[in-house]
Amino acid sequence: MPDSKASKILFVLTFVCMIVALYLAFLYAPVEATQGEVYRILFFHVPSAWVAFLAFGVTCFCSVAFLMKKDLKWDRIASSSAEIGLLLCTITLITGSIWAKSEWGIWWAWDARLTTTLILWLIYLSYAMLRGYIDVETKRAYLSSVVGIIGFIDVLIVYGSIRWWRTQHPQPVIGGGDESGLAPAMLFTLLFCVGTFTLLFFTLLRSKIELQKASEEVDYFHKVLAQK
Amino acid sequence: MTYLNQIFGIIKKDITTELRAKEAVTAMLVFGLMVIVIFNFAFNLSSQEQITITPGLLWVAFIFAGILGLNHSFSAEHENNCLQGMMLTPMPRSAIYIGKLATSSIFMFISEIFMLFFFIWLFDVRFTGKWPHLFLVMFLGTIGYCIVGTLFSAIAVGTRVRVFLLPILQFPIVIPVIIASVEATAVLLEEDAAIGYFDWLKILLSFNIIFFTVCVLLFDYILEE
Repeated sequence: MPDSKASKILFVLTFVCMIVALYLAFLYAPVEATQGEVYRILFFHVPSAWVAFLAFGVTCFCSVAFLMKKDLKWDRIASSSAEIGLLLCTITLITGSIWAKSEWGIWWAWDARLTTTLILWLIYLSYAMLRGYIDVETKRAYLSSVVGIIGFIDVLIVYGSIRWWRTQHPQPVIGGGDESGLAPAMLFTLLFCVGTFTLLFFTLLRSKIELQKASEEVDYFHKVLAQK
Repeated sequence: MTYLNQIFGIIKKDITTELRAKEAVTAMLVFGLMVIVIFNFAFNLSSQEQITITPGLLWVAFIFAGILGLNHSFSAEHENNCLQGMMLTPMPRSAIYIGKLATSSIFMFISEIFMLFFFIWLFDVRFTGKWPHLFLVMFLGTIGYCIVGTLFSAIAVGTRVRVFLLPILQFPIVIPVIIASVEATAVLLEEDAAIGYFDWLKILLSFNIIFFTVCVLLFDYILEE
């Protein structure tokens, strides 16, 4: 549970924004001309994809910081962020798949962005598995930091190479030329949802870090008691 | 001892052990052969289909076999605490990495050549006049595969499960290498001039340069505890 004042404010703010975002996504935003109601999944698909990338970026940054400063605080942020990123990446894949079924008639297409997201998901899944297989705290921090950094760099190259390979996912709709663009109400809703998901990310990150600290304390007490 | 001598020291040590034990190359080669044979039964190909599926099949055999070699690279050092011994020698950690990378690549490349030979014999594939091109792809692809693999091999031996973690870490990261190698090989099998061949080579080359730099920098931290 959030304890400090800043945490409480963040928690309440996220909660309020979530309610507003739900209203905007389901009631305020107009029905899309060709896709009908289905397009509303956009308001959950795009923000979760964005936050997943943000989370993995944070993991990479904190992994570098850990290797430089050798302070376990950074490792705690890196691993918590990766876990949240993995969750949001899963949501991205699921919502995207549902949307694809209704739009393209198939659950999955081996297109650049989809494939990159899937590989991203696999990379951080292996990151999470690696952490699970190491018992010593400092060793876990060092090894997973290395994977965290390599994984993030790799994503950029994966995207480049797969894009050469094939592409089906719609090109960026916002700012993609004169023809493209969302209706103002939709754009506002989308941006609001992105903002809300970003807030949600920080709320989750904070509580995950607190949780990890608490679990480390419990481990410490276990050790002390075992020695006595 | 200069830096280069230290690297050659590691390479010499590994090649000597390999010449005595003949473990890595044999295992990779035989395993790769098995993969090729199993694929034949799994797909039951006509001669026209063979051409389209050949590049992928060849590289699947290479990368599956390569995992065995990479696993061996550091797990062999883990026995009798050889890794500890290497870390105690007065040489930078990156020399250990580069030496290990070199031997892993050499062993993998040798077994690939044999696998290719068997492959051509079994499937009647023709790379007429494009051998240097093919070897260049195999060379760059193998190095790219081993650059990341050597680092992950060192990571995997540091964990509780050792061996089976390596493919899980390795495969998603080397996707660009696999795509580029398979596509470049596919281009070579086409009748006409090799269009796009050098573009795929560029991807391989940039992957290798970027990850070589990153892995050399990061390897120091892996052996730290």
